[in-house]
Amino acid sequence: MIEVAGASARTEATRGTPSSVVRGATFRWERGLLVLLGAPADGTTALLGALGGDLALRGGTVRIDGVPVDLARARIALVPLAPVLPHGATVAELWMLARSLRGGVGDASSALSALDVERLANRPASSLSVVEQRTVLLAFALASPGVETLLVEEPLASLDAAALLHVEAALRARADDGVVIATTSSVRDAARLADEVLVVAGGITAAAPPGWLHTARSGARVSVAMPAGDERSEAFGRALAADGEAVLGVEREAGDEVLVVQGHDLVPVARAIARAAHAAGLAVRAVEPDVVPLAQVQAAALDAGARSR
Amino acid sequence: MNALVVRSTLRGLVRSPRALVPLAGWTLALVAIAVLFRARLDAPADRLLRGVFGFAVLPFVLFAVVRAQLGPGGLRAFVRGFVLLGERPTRAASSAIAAVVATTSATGAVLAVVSAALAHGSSDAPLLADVAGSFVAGALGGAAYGAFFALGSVFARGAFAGTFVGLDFVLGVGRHVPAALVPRGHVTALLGGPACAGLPLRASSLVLIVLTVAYAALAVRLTRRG
Repeated sequence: MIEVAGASARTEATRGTPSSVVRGATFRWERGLLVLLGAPADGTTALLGALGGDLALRGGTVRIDGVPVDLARARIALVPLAPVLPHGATVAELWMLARSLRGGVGDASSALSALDVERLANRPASSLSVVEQRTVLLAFALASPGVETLLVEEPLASLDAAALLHVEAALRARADDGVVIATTSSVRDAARLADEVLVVAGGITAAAPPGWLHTARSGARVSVAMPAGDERSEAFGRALAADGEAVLGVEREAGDEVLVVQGHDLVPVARAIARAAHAAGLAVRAVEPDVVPLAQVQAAALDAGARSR
Repeated sequence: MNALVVRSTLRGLVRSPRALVPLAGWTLALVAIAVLFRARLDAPADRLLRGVFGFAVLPFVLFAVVRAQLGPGGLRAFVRGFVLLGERPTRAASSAIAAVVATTSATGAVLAVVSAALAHGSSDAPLLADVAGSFVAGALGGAAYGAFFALGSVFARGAFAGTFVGLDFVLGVGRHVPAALVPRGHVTALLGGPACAGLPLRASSLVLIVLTVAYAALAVRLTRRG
């Protein structure tokens, strides 16, 4: 469990990268996958760095299972966007070090196999690209049973191409047993990963139900891919259009292969789609809810937070 | 002490041959000047040691060594890689500094012995005593410079990496009290130069040891703060 009370931190600004600042963040996360939604400049990088002990706190506290981060160092794994692995060691040696501190079995190849990157096992750390370094760090963290809190910056970006196929399932599996906190500036990635979302905007944090990510002020939009020219597709469209309670409008796109359904709220729209597909006997190819732009999610979360105070 | 951190720090020297160019250049210059001293000028060896060696070669060579070992990001960036793997920052930083100090101390001692032996003339003290004195001065000075530049790497990176070399040059000359806070004055005194801040030679040796420990402790503390 991670408890954050009034935590403030900031990263140093470097050439071309503004500093990331977070002020007074307060939340508690016991188990599952929490997504911090916001750009690095909004404070996500600073908050994650403070949670992982990579950045000194300028105020507040962070406790992991009741103890300060410094005393729980081996139980936390942080995978930042720009890690620098020690340059005088090989990946295999680094795994031996990580294994001695956080536990684990087998050699580096078996540790890296969770993300399908065993080929990196015998490389010197200095020969790895930033993307490969991130992948190695994440694979080591996933292979270490001693890691109870996994913190990952942008988990669906800047990873080895092979690893990207496995990372979502690996994070979900880890979230079943412990704490996983990920940052992203992609609303779509947040919607895909999160059990809960904490919006970070301008250094301020505010809770947001995941449903918000799909529901703009004008309502929710869901795209449904289906076979074109099929009788059942036509019946599906008619059934949706007739559902005046949940559905506000239905449009066809991409040569009748995609139906865009609009409604007040995502959940009633999703239920209407399921009802209509069942009634028409249609097996839809894909269902994809639209996501709201990041700025709108941030504004709504901060607005709701201010009102609740 | 973390053995992998120590090994990685030591390997820094062979990992980045380009970073060793200044080391090779200054060492060759030192040898050439020592040979010249002996062949033509017949000046006493301590003049070479406190002049060329103590003034320029030792700090520049050791700065190159520390930079090669810790990399361009300095101590904090070097240690961060180990911390991301679960190591405690203090343990990683103290291991890295121990390796740096051992390397710079050995480098300083070897260079001092070589230059003393090459420049030794008929008017100097007996060779063995000269070499032994130079060995101690080089080793103590090397250790202090190693810890000093490791501390400097926490503050000054990139274009400002050489700030602590400049600080040593500015503060270390003269006989005033601030000269006692950087290695230069003490090293020069031990190599036959004027006393640093009026301290006797034995006190300068002791101060170099104290400075090494103080710089190292401060560097470890600053690295821990993140």
